[in-house]
Amino acid sequence: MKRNYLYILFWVCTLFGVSVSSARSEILPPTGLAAKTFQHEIFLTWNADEANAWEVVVDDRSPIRTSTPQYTLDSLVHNRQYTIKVRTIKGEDFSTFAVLQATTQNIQKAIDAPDRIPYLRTIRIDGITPKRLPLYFNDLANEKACITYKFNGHPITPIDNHLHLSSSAYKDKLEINIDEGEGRRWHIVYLISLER
Amino acid sequence: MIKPLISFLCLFTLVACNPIETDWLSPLKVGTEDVREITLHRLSTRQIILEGGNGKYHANIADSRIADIKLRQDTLTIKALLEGETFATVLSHDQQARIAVKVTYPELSFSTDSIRLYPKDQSKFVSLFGGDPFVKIIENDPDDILDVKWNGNTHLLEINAHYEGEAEITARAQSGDEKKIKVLVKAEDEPREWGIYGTGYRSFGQSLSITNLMVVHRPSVGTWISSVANPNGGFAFTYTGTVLKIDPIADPREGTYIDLVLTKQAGPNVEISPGVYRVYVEKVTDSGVMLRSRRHKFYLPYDKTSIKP
Repeated sequence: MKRNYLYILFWVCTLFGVSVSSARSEILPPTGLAAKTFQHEIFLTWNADEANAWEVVVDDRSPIRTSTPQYTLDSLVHNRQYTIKVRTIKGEDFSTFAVLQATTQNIQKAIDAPDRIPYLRTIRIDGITPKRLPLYFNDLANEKACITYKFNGHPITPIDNHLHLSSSAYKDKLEINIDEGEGRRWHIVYLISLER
Repeated sequence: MIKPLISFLCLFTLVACNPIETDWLSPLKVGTEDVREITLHRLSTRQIILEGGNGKYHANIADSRIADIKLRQDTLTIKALLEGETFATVLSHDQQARIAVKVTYPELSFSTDSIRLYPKDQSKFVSLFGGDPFVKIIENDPDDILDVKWNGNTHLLEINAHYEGEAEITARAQSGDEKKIKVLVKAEDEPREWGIYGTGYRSFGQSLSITNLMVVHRPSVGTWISSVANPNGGFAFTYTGTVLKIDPIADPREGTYIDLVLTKQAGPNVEISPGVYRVYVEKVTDSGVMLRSRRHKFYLPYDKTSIKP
């Protein structure tokens, strides 16, 4: 009789174990994880693979959940290697991580070069600007710099590292004050046209 | 009976011929101030009240081509006819006064003493009055902003302005007499955004010498103007961006001249060439300084070094 109980327990455990391991094996880590690096951002993409939720982990930062198979990591330090892990989420379960290492680009000019000018790489070169403008800079040496914005003369505060711009004018004036500390200050004025 | 009559006549004759009698007449005076010289412009007239003498006057002029003289009771009228010098004589009893009459060309004068023009506007005409036939027009136009045509027959000065700036036109007669007219050429507005503008336009709206899509001011280092949204230049679909750098401008003072150093950092040439520009400081405000060279206007940020943060 005791032997029969053990036998049943064995099969229950076996079955349970099989069911758990089979559930985990059904959730596969994202494939095709790729990174496009900038000076302060890394743009990640991966294959959707019929999933609709993922978790992105960068170094020791808090995990970030996303419902699209892409994500932009911002406010990164230039010229630094980051370990990026992405896993698929299904309900309460998740896959193992797909892992990638990427290094942000270096700034183009030396920190103390007099002609180094931080600028928004997200404003098109001809001045066309998205209404939701990502604040992604090039040649910004200190990503913790104090940066303030004015749009058509009025102060404007970024939301999620974006400026939300609205205007019916043909040309708009975007002013940016950057203070990196140690006397490195810039006042930048763009005359932009918002995307229609 | 005849004897007393003869005695009376003799006495009367003696009294009448007594030279002391003229002392009773007050001295002949030409006007209250007894003028001895009159200067008149051609075709002008002057009237003078004669005083003294016996109240009866005669007058004549030495050269009637130069001036005409008329006397009506005690009023002497002299009319200038031709440039030159002569003299008039006024007689009253046995007194006479000699008056030098000088007829000169009319005094120079412009119909206005200052005018304001817009660049590339229609010509403006200014009348010049007076002066001799040899009036010279002298332009003080250091920035070469004006085109001035003088028509001696019509006495009209035609002024055409090409660029913003200030100039002075002087009309100088052979006598040395001169009159000046100030010419201010200014657009109808002022640049509102930092940038470099041409001064040969009525408005600054469309007169950019380089598109000011991006302007960067870095204190103590300088100002960059980029025609694209990248301070390093770049290709913008149909054109290549140009970046100009202007050396820092420290504490500019209105009404002074400073040297502005312009260098090209990237891209093709634009309307303004790199180099050193001698510029006039027109206006200084908190938001920028307005500078003017011969052909350009610069509205730029500047460093306030004297004001400590």
